[in-house]
Amino acid sequence: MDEPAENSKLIFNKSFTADTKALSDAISRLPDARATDRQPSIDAALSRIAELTRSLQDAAVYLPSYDQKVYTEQLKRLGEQLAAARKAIAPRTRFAFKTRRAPAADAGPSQPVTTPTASTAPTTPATDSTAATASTTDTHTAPPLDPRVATLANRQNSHVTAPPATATTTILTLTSLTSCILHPPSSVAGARFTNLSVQNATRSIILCGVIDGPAHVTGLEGCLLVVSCHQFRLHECRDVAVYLRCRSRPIIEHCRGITFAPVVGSDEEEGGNMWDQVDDFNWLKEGKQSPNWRFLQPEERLGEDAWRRIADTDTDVSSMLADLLPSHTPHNISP
Amino acid sequence: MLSILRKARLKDKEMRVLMLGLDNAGKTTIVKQIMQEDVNTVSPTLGFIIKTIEYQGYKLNIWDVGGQKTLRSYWRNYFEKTDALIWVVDATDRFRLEDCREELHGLLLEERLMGASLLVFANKTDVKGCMSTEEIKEGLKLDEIVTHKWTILRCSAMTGENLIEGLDWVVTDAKERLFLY
Repeated sequence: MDEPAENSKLIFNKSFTADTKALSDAISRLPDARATDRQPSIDAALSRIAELTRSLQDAAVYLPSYDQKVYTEQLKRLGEQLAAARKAIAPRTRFAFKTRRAPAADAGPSQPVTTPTASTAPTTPATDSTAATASTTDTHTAPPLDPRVATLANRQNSHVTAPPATATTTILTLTSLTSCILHPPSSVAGARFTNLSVQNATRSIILCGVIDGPAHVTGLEGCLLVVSCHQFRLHECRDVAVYLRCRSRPIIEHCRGITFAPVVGSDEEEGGNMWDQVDDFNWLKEGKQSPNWRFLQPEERLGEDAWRRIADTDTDVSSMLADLLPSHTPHNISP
Repeated sequence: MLSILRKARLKDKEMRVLMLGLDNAGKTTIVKQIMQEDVNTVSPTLGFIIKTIEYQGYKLNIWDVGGQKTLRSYWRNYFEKTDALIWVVDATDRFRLEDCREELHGLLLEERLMGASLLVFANKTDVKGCMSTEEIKEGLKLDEIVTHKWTILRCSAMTGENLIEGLDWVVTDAKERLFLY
């Protein structure tokens, strides 16, 4: 098939090069076009790209893979050029992300959070950011906030309570907590959260309550985490004690010094608790215990008295944390 | 060569569908829901799961590969002979939309996935407060994809909404493309 294939290759190259060149020129003329002509031109360019993509696919029979790659790259660049041109001529205004302080009458995230220090916050220099009016949340790493997502972010050295689940707010997001005790969310009319994500917390006690779905936890250090959920994923954490109720196998990835214990009283609940069937994605050796986690022995687990003290919102946060948080655990202990 | 293989498989009416996405996107739950299995006890996927679904007389071999970071480098092992790529997005996860975009666009550069069409499943849309289709399209820069035929569908692995519609798109599209050879 050499002779005809060589011919086909040449023919394809010629027409493809000419076509992409013409298309590229057409796209670069877009900004000069009259406003009413732009949309049709954009549509034409898009369908032209699609056509070329198809013809490239058809040519896959005789084109060497390297050529295909080069041509594909060219098409991709055309796509990028078109996207850039569209952006330049029509700045998109469809999207305006609402901040969570928007006047919207949402019940969830804008509810005041009960913290002992909150009452003085507006007059004192902000030692904690409970006065959320002042800090519209550090949006540097945080994504745009949707009023329908219950969010708690950037808290330090305080008792905080997670915003409640409501009929319309079932996603809970916790970000950047330092030296906090987070009390579990209350519920409005029996609503429960269906999704939990926790990002970045240090030296904190985090009580998440019951989540009717997956919990996705990333970047904790020296924390105590209590959660009841359907799926549990722990990423990039160090020295975290997890009290868990989970209806599927919990997993950890890129973690060290993790300990697991069951949520007290969880065994009677329907659905079972697989808290002890942990999979470590960085330790897939059959029959050998991962050095990255271990079980918390019954005598090491917090007793009723400790849980009562944690639930009390009037205690001094720093001394509570010093008492109850896991210290750096040796990593080589097996259960 | 590829076309011959394709033809052979189409005679058997078999199709290979690769299902990828970040961890916690709901890939396994989608498959379980389609198979009408219990969706409440799905554990994060360690490795991969293959399920064969019969649809419109076609045998869809669905390769559901785990999405944890440690597994993503193994995704490439499953590219060969893929007829359709289903990219599953967690519509409630705004935090990782950028990660999600990077992983997806990385895949689209893969030569071995060139012939595959792309179905983006925006999953978990039964959850209130999830992202809109427009938000996901924008976040994933879907409009910039010109190398693959693509579409996006909102769905829910928990309620089953739009899952069959997704399969339908995959099969219809593959029929159109693969019968050309």
